[in-house]
Amino acid sequence: MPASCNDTDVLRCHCEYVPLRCLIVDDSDHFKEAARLLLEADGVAVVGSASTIAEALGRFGELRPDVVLVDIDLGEENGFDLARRLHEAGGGEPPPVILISTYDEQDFAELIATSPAVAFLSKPFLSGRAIGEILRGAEA
Amino acid sequence: MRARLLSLLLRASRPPLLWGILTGAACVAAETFMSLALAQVAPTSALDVVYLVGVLVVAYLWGLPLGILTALASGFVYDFFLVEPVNRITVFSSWTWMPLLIFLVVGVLVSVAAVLMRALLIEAEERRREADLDARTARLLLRAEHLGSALPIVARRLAQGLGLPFLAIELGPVGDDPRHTALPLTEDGAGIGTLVAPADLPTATMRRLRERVVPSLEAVLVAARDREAISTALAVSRDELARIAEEQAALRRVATLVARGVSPTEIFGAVAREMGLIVKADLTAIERYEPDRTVVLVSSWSASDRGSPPPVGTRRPLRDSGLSALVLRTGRPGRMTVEEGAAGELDGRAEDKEITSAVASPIVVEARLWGVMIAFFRAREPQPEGVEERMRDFTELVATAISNAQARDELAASRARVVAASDETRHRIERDLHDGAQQRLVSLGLQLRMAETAVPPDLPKLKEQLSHTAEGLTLVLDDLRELSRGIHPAILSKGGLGPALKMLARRSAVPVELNVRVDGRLPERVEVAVYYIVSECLTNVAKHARASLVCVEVEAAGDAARVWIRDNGKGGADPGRGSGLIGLIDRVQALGGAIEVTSPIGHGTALTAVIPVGDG
Repeated sequence: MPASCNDTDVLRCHCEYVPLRCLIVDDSDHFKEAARLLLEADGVAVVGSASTIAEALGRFGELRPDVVLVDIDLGEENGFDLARRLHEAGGGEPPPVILISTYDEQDFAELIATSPAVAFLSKPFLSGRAIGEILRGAEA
Repeated sequence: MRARLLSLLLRASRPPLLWGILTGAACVAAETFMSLALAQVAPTSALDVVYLVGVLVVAYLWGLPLGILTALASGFVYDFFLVEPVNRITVFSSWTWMPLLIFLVVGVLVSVAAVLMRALLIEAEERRREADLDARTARLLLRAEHLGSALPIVARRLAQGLGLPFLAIELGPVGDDPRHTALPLTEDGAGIGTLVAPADLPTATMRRLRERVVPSLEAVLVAARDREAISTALAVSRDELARIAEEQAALRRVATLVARGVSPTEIFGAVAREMGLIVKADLTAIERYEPDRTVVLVSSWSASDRGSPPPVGTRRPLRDSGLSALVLRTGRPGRMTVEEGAAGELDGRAEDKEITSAVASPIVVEARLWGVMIAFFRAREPQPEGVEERMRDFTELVATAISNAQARDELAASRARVVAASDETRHRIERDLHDGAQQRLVSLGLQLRMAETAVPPDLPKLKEQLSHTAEGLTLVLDDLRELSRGIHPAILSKGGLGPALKMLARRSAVPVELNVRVDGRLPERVEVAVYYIVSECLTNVAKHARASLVCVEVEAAGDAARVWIRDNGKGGADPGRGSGLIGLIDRVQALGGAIEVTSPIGHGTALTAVIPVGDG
């Protein structure tokens, strides 16, 4: 897929100057590891990860990432709650939050629509390029 | 005139003697004139017969002596006026005395016959009167409601009929009194009463009383007494029958309540009242034994509105000397009087002091002594033997009601547990799938995609294969997601009913008009039930109803959640067919709710469900 390669290259070039810093919040270690490898390969700097809301808020305070990937399902906790908390924690400049899940977007359409998150991204379709498109769309 | 003549002829007493003499003389004179007249046409020797009429009349009315005298006078007058030579007494001078003697003998015989006839006639009249009197007496006595009250009337009538100054009939022996004569009335030698008559009655009257009045009075009195006994027995058995019917009706009313499965509280109330009325108690109470040697009042009833019973739920310690403790000890019905401590069972009741006795019956539920039913009485006299027996029928119904309610509660709890366990299992499986298999597959997919990008360009075949595998994996994930959603809707736990129902509406093949009025979250079991009801209905509508619109309304208000679903399809749905709806009905019933489906052909299908929210 040449287009994809080109995009990745663009992102990579961009990253060399201003690397996109990403925080992943998910309670599945398998997924966090797979996502980190994938995103790093795509030129996104995964600066940290967390499994719970408390941990995520702490990490966010320390790291001030450019984007936060939040799993909708955090065991007993809830990704929508975290998105709201992050939005509040961000003060005047809330970070873009992307909700991720293995569930279908349709399943949570209402909650996603009312959430301050910028977008929903299905886990199987996670990629540096998809994140880049979402962020560009959000800025536009 | 005829009646007066009859009464004159049948009168027992005779007219005055002077009247007799005058009548005799008049008769003789009249007969003489008649004979003289007849002598013109008939031989004089046959005319002495004419004089017999006078003899007959006088002898009948004034008796034999005056009759004979009239016969003698008639003989001499006849001799004087009609026997030749006329105007002379010839008896002593010729043989003509012979016919005169024959006339006299005939005259005497006529007199005797007249007197006899009169006696017989009067006797017959007396008998007739007595028979009338007997009939009247019998009618009076046999018709009387109470024998005692009819006796004075009968005695008065009897006295009138017999021409006595007074008579009295007493049911029993009468003390000696010189002014009275007491005639005992007996039946087979046993005294049944006494007829009291004046002491100075003539012997004939006394004999008449003794021989004719007393026997008939005895017979009528016995019959009347028997009739009264039969009436009383009938009345008693009628009352008994009415009582039994009343009792059966009361039992049937309570049994109907038990069969309808109404709440035990309602049955306790009904039993306390019905039993109170049946055993004619002044107060009734149903109490439950508690393990800590106390009793709790579960129902009470009062025949009057005096005072107020302690409220249901009142707890009091068990007194060792009390009736409840006695029943607890023996496990059998018991009774107590106020001296033995029955009133102690009435703690806090204003009417305490008036209660004199109490009867209690144990309530045994499945071989365990559950409680006691007590009836309190104000009446001084002891209660009849059967009270315990009659109370037992009611306690058995109470026991059945309690037992049914317990079984029902247990069944409901068990059903609710089954539903909850099944929900929990489904929820867990969904979570396990999501957290385990799905996450691993997603991770694998990501790794495959990475591997795909890492493949050197000179190996296009491998790249293609990897791409193919990644796509296959995505399809597997889709299938798994679909499966998970069917097992348990994740959005329900995350977002509650509103978002979950919106999701269902969005996915429905038939357009849905959704109206959800639910604030906050409901207990999970209720949310799950409502979700499945809506989900199942939407599936059914899409499959069968041929509708163009479904309206779904959900409201949580008060202590229940309500669901209304109706479509504009072809109707005619049968809730008994298809296991989906039956499963839902089971689920809702397990939560103590109800589902109603109406589906007239051609007018769409409507479903109403009510699910109690309870305390979560």
